[in-house]
Amino acid sequence: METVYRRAQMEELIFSMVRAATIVLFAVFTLIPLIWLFINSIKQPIEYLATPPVILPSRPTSQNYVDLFKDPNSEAPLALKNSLIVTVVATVFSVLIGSLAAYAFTHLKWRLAPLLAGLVLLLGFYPKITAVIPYFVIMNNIGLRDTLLAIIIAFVGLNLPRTVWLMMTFFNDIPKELEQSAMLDGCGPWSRFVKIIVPLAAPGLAVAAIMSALLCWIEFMIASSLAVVKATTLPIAVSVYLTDKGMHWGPMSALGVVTVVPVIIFCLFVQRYLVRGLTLGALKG
Amino acid sequence: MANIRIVGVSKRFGNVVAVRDIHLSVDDRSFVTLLGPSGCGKSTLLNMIAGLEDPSNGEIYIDDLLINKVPPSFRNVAMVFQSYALYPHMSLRDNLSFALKIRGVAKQDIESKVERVSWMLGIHELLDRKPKELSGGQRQRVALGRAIVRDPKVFLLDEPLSNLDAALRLQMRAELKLLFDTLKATVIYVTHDQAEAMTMSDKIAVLKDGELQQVGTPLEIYFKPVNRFVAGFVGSPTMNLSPCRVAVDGPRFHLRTTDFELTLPASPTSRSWAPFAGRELIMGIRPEHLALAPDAGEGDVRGTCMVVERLGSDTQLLVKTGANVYTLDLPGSATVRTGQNLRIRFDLDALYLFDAESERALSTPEHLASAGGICP
Amino acid sequence: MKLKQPLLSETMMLAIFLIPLVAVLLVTDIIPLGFSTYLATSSWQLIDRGASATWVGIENFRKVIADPVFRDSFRVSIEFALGSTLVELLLGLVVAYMVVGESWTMRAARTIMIVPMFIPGVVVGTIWRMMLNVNSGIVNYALGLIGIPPQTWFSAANTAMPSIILVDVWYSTSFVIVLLVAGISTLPPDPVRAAMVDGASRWQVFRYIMLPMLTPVLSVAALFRFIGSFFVLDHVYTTTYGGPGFATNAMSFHLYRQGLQFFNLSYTAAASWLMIGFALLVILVLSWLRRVLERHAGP
Repeated sequence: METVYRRAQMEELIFSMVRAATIVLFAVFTLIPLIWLFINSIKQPIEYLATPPVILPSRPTSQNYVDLFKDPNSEAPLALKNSLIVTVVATVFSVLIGSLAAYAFTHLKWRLAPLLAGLVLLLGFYPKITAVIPYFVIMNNIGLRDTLLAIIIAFVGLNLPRTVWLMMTFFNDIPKELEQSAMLDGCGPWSRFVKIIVPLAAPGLAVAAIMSALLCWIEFMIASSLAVVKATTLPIAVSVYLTDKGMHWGPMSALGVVTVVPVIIFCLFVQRYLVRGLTLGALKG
Repeated sequence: MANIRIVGVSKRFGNVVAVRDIHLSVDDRSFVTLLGPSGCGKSTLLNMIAGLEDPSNGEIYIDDLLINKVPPSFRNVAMVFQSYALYPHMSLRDNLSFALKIRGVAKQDIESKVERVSWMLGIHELLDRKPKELSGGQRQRVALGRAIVRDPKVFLLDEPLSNLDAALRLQMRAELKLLFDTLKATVIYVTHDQAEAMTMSDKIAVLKDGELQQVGTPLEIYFKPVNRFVAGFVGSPTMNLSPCRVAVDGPRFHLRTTDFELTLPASPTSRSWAPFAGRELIMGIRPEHLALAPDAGEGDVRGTCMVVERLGSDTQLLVKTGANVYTLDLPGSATVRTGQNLRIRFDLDALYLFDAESERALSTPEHLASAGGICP
Repeated sequence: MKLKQPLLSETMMLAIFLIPLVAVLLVTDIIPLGFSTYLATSSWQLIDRGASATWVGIENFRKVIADPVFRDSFRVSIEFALGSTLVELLLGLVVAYMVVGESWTMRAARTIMIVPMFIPGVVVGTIWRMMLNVNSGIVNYALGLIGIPPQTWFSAANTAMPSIILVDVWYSTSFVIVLLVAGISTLPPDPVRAAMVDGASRWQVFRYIMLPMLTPVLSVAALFRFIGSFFVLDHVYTTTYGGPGFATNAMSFHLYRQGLQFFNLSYTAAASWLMIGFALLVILVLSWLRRVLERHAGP
């Protein structure tokens, strides 16, 4: 028994080393591109395309960031503003509309209600490219082509199925008795929604809001189909750098950093909610 | 089979001490129960014997081999979990043969062992089913079977009966006892149910808040509890406990509670009450040593019957004597009504006395134990 | 005592709650999808600000299927989806297993590892385009330091596909990790402990106990990743733009270009519906596969 036991100790030791190596390697793999993005954003112009590449900038400069925001030709300030507006407004509305609908779906005693709910959920799973072109044609014909409004509406529609489904799971976890006693006290659906359900499902609302906000911030396909000049968002601005502006890696990296840093900070603070939102479906399914 | 020695074992989780300085010996082929309320550390102790937790202090020996650092897979112990822990995705047959398969036992040997054990436990027809298709009782047998098939040195059982309904539990109690007697196994059994502990064990170790209160045979624990906790924990209905004092009145001693005063027996065979005079005490008397006095006799206590519980075989009464309430255990045919005024007769030879502050037993009716031929 | 009757019944109020949802989804999904069917079954020409359309039934679908570029984009999407899903599942499983645990080191590691999936795809593409640049990218530079010759990455047709798979692996493995860590953490602990007491080594516990119990989560992860990769657009847009040539002309990207740059509306509509049909097929197949796997799981 002694030798077998010693072999087990060896196995555990080897595993610990393998584990440490794996984690370090993967973490490095994950971080290097982000670090590289940042380094590129503080390089001098001549250093961008240097061969061999410059790893540590000799004189780090914030000129790229300055250019992004001071240069009158730069779309960065507009893109930033638009992204913020779109994200906030679309998130607010999708959470509001979505939770109201989820409430209705979980309370309606109508036979078709679950069917309808299922249909809404299904709408979250088809390739949006199918709807992008027609939506564009429609918006174009009613003159809303290059507007934030068109983008906001599209984003709300994008987030609704997932929000509805998320809130339905949270609402189902609230014991019916709480509402039943409120009903006996004379509360109608709206006041029950506001006074009981919303406070209790607050974490769920947080998850829904966070996931919606993230999706709006990073969305490219729909926004780029609609925006021309006035409604540009950060992802569009970044994509444009490669096609329109050529290899200006410096300002492009700076713009990338501007887009990425809010995400990272956001993630650090709300990761618990993020994980919950992502896994809720997978585990119950 | 094997003997187990636990020497000075403690376990801390952060600032919480789950188990404190336990010393316990388990003899080869004996059935020892760790008994105590929830949170007393019995499961933690069991986990440490299995190797699922490491002791913070102390040593654990199996067959005189120090096993503190040995991982669970090498201790040759088998564990039956409270939740049975069956592998949900495997058939019964695979559940039973898993441990043998990973040790590389030959296929025919595995088959014959699985056959034998499944017949022994009456689950042979179910071998190709999956756990979720079985009832609680059947799953429990599979969990047992998994342990038996391994022929381990020690069986560790963590409240295996607590998820079964009452009738099944009683039935399984007897079956388990018979099974382990047949297997001549060394068993460590964890439960909070004192009836299980009493009926199945060779020795009981009573734990409270991580500390060992008493180790002894069931009857030792019952008749000679070492403190108030053990006295109150074992025995159903529980022992009556109330604060009291012993007062001296000339040559006689009196037992004085807030509600009544009784003269303590002074025959040549009864105990000496002198050492207990003048202290704060707690008296204990088991319900079966209280009776209804048919006629007014000296030394009876007046009370009002608050609750009558008829179990058929017994009748239990709750009688209020003032500030104290006493439980009586009477034959099933006793005629009493709630609200009835009656008199309780105390068999003071069966009186227990505990120190009020330390709660240690000061005086126990030893003769009860030796009358049963249990201890000298 | 007279009870005050509310103005609207309970059911009516709840129905009102649904109105905003229905209104938005009509505009963003229902009407566009309906319009898309119309587009898919007619020959749509944009003339100035108007359009002319003639109904052509399934003619467009035939044209799309006959189009070699479309068929090629289908092949590209499949290759990409299979390649990236397989790598991400495998890598994700290994890393997830290593990174479970409540210690602060594990939690810090997990926080770092979930960042990539929340970065805009176009930015991810941009970063990797810089890193994998043949001359001034640091990857080729680093390879050079250990004696490996520079690779062609995005610039050559035969290495473009592995390159975009690499980008997607960096991008999406984090999603798989999140899912699998949650799956592993919510496994019932007792069967695992029972296996340990029964004598199983770490590998045996993983292979015979944990893995079979993880099949549901794994299949969900596989489904999400396959469908997600199949519909990829964002980082392809900023890395290869479909090229070189048509080597990485994934379906979504192909349709995006056809629809929004060349205004081949009918073509795009018909092709998108074919895509949806395919996605449904995949979902059905994977569900069937999962059921089959569950029946045969175990040692």
